[in-house]
Amino acid sequence: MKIPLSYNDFKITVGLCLDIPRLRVRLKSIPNTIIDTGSPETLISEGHALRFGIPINNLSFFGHVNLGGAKFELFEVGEATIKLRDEKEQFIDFNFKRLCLAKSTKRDQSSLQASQAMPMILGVNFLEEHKLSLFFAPHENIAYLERKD
Amino acid sequence: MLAVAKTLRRLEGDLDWFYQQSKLFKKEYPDEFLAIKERKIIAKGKTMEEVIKKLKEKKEDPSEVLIEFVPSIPMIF
Repeated sequence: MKIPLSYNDFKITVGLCLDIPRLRVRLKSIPNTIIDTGSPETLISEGHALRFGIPINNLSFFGHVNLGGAKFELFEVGEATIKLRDEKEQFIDFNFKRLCLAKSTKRDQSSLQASQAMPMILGVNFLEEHKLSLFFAPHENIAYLERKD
Repeated sequence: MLAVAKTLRRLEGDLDWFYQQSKLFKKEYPDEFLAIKERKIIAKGKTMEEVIKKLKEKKEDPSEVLIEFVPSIPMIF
């Protein structure tokens, strides 16, 4: 099974749908999720919380991380279903137990903008949990995820 | 699922358009959030809250509209 990815602006991205029934986030479309093999975690941002009506104050604090040189707080979103499309444009469900939300600890305008603008990140924990391999040939504009079924 | 697939495709189309216009947007709207629907800017602001407020005033659902930030310097996460 292959999941086609896009290569734009020097980033590998994928469009997906996110379902978090516990937080009443139902089938929300996110067109610009980044595949980031440098990130151990799979994250959504403060911007997604604002758009989808996720109450950050009700989430459990998970720890701190540095992202792009800035300090962020992580909150545990918990179980989510991430829906990706295969080559035939059919959605495939990936249940995921440890989705986190990242929010900058600094609240000046520039930090706030960075915190709200951060894209969703599919990190290595997601790829590993679902046994997904990444194929990426930027010079040929080819990128996809693959799982041997 | 058909409606979801349709929404995702529309947002992806708007994202392509955003990338195509990025040079122009960097000049016109540095460090602003833009809400884009069907290749049109329907709201803008310095914070996501400001954009969401404007979208709600226009009876638009913020979760169904592309909201992208135009950084004056590249952002690396």
